[in-house]
Amino acid sequence: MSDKSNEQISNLMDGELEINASKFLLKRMATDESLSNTWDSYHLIKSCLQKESREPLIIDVAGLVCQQLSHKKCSSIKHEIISTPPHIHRWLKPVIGVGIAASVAIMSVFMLQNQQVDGLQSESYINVAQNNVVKPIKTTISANVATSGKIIVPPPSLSRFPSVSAGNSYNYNQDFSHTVNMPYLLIINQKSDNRQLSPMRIKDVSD
Amino acid sequence: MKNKQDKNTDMSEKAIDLELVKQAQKGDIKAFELLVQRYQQKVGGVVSKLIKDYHEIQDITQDVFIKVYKALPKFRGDSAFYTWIYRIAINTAKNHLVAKGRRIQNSDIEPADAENFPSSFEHQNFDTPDAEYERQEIEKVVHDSIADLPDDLKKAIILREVDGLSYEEIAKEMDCPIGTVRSRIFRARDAVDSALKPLLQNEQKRANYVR
Repeated sequence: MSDKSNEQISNLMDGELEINASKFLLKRMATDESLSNTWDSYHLIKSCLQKESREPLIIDVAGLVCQQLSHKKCSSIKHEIISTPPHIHRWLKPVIGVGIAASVAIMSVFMLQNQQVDGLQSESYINVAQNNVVKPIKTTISANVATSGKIIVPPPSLSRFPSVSAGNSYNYNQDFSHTVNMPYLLIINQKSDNRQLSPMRIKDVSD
Repeated sequence: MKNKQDKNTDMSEKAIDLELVKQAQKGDIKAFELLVQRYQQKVGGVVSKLIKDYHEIQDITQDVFIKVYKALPKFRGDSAFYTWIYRIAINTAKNHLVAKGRRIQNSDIEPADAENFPSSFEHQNFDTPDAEYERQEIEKVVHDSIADLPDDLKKAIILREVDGLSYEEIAKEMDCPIGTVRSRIFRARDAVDSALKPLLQNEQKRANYVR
């Protein structure tokens, strides 16, 4: 240990050392036993000169405290110190809440859609509006269409909003002249604008 | 002489505390040890205003620093570190007295008054005979070493440690450059430290001194 280091410690404890040198020295002292002993000793001298005559002289409490901290492992304390800062929890809570709410909303939308699809299949009519003129279309699924494994499905978005075509609505009446086994899926084209009809889609789900 | 610009780049004593606190907050126990070494006497002195028994003072001083370490994450640096630990020290000492069913005296001590707190009540039998002997021994070595110093070193260290003058004020007082003041104070401390070392070298002896 050089005199220069000791002189720097002397300056440091009086706040007379340059910032960068101070930071460097503080880090060195944390790892260099002899430097920290000098730091301890200089403070002891200061205390001896400053203290009242009857005040007790406290020596090496630092060593005992650190021993105690190490013995207790203080890993829990250290963990508390390094663990996730509370501000993260602060913003995490509302995000979780929003996430749950969004999940519930999505689930309910899907359930609603499934119900509507079921309704379409069972009631077999769909309201269609095109260019603000609704024309009656009679749909007949003939046997040969059915056997080809294809079904024409109008955009169901309109059926989800029956009020759009209210008053001018006509039913698609499925006239099953033959009983057929229909391995089809109704595809819902979700367009937000229910006035803009999306093109009919044909979905073949047969193998 | 150190110019004004250099002076502004010096790390203040508060900044030193904050730097050490920052390191300790990251879990560096060694940095915390440096803080304890820095303030153990002051904390011990404050605790001794309320508690007479030497062993209790030692134990409470330790407890104070354990509490300080645990509470470090809450320390933001708005107040001085010493003011903060001072409050913890007073509360710990008071709680100790309450737990022991003793009356609390001097409950209105303010941090600013802590160091100049008058010895309104005498602490009889403060130390055990052994501790008292060793305490006197250390103090004697320190005071004898100071007395043996050349006048310029002696004056510089007394002006700094006893009168609490800044280096700049000491330079004016002694009519010399700040660099000279810095050197004189260091040489004085180094001389006393050399005289103290044999006494404090043996860790066991130090531990016995405390106990």
